[in-house]
Amino acid sequence: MKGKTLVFVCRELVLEDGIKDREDIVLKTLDCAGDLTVFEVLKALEEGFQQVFVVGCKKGTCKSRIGNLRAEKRMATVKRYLGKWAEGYRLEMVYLSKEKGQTLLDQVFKA
Amino acid sequence: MVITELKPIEKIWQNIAGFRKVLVLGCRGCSGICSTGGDREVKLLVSALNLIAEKEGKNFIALGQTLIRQCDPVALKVLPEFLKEVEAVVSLACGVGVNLIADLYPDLKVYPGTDTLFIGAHLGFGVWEERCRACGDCFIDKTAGLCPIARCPKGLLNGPCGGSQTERCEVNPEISCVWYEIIIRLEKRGELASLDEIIGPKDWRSTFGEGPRRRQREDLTF
Repeated sequence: MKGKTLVFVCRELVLEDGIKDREDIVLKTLDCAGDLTVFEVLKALEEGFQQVFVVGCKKGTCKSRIGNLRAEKRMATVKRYLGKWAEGYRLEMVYLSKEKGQTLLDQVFKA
Repeated sequence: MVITELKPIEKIWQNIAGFRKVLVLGCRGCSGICSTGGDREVKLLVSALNLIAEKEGKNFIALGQTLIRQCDPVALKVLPEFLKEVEAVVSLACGVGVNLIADLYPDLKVYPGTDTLFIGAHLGFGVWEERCRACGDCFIDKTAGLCPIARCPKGLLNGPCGGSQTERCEVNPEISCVWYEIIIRLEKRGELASLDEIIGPKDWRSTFGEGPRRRQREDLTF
């Protein structure tokens, strides 16, 4: 498996150069962050990913209106299904601006 | 429909942590419709339990199956087919399903995966609200179809109480006073006079009678 981090990202977002070459990150592009399913995230954890991020458009800019908000709720559902065991993983929703200047790596690995 | 809610995963795990093979059993009836125990939720719970088992270092596997209903012995007839080497079942149906499995398969360890909340209506995506308390003595013909047993926190038979304020309930201002709604509707129908008749004390034996309530229709049984 390539790396331990899985990033689901909305197709609308422009990714910075080089991110696709990183060995520690697996990218999965979605037509909209709202297409993410709870099962996909749980499956990814079963496959061994320790960190799963879903990267959606900044609030108010989703082309599907609330796809990004749906994605956030689905990540919350994953945490609900895992209860206290979710603490062993990093499961996050990231809102990213479509404008230049804010990079995915900065957002995802800011902590 | 019967509204259910998934139990906290910690509680579910507590019951089954000692087993090696567990079947998560869904129900496509009410529980499936209210997104608690249908095919999708079974898949999610199986995945979550297997992840938890891995985290806990347990030799454990969860499997999933969903039945058309769990409140019917006919629908439960197929259950033994899914029980090969299964040590316990987590039912995602309402409490009726869990009880019936326990009745029909006394040697099987069955645990509830949901909390059964109430009989309710679907008011919007992800929203359900109680509309009937199954008291067994329906009198909503006199109250414009609105049930004060289920919808008035005080369960008043002759309301409203003195505390309702500007159409809102005094106990829970988030809801409208059902007695206010009843009176407005009866007035519109020209049936307000029906409230002149005092509804007498309710016979709660039909609710809390002698053990489980039973209905047997002679026209359907032999």
